[in-house]
Amino acid sequence: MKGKAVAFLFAALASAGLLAFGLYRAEFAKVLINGALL
Amino acid sequence: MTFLKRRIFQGLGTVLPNAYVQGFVTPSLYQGPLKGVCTPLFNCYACPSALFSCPIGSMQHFAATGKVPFYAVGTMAVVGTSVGRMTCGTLCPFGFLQDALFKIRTWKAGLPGWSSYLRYAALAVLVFLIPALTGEHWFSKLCPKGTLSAGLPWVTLSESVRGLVGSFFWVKIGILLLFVTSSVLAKRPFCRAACPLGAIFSFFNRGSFLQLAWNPDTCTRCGKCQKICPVDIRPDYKPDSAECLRCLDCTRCPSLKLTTVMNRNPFNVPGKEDRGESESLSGVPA
Repeated sequence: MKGKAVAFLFAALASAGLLAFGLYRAEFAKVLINGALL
Repeated sequence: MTFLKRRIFQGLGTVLPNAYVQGFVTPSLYQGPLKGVCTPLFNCYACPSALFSCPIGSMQHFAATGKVPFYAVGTMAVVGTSVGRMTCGTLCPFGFLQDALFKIRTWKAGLPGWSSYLRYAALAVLVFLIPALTGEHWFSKLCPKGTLSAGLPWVTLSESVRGLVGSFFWVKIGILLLFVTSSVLAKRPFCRAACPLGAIFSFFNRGSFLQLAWNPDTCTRCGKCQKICPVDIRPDYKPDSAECLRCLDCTRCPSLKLTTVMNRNPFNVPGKEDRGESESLSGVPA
């Protein structure tokens, strides 16, 4: 279980970083445009 | 979570992301700010009533334009890290449909074990590789959920779209019929063998914050958990299986319960934390 907790912490940091970078690049708006185009 | 509660959540997961009813009346697509939000559900954003974006469609769009989809992948990774595949089991509208179709009383079949690898192939090839090479959204073109909630409504509602129907539309209908028919015969065939979103969440099941815990001291290996499992697995053999949808139906059995990755002794077994025992039991289910 200790290994799992460490894996979770790494995954949480990495995924939050990915999401933050995506938001920083304003991909939210690009997804919106994509959705609207369809 | 009780069975009834899960059905209520699945109903909400179907209705709320598709609350733009006006889209069916006008007919039109919702283009407001919510369309920028990727829901952790397999829900087509080309459906006239869709309020949110499909994460797979968004990833595919970025792959087709040669960009990395940090936002869509990051959103799914945050959800996966938190709850694993729980949204597949408790909220996904297409999973709900497959669960309902499997209730039809008829002869039932199993899926071969290797079929679960196909969803990873669908993710790699149809969502990323082929769109990156061709610039076209090939998964969306073939997606049975897209045909059901976008293709069919648009062909019905719009004369101009109806004029565009060609032979490829009937291929899409064939794929939809394949999954609808197979859902009557087998448990969740699309989720297990074709869903790229489920493939993404599968990567996180082992290390997600929410975990399924199994108590070997009280388990009688009766196998009832497999009978009620919507993806036909044995949670007592591998509670952190990548196949597990975290629907929690099996937690009706007191030997299985929802816990967190931080809890080292979810069943409060005396001395267990000190022994550091594994929660998994190796072996092949009988």
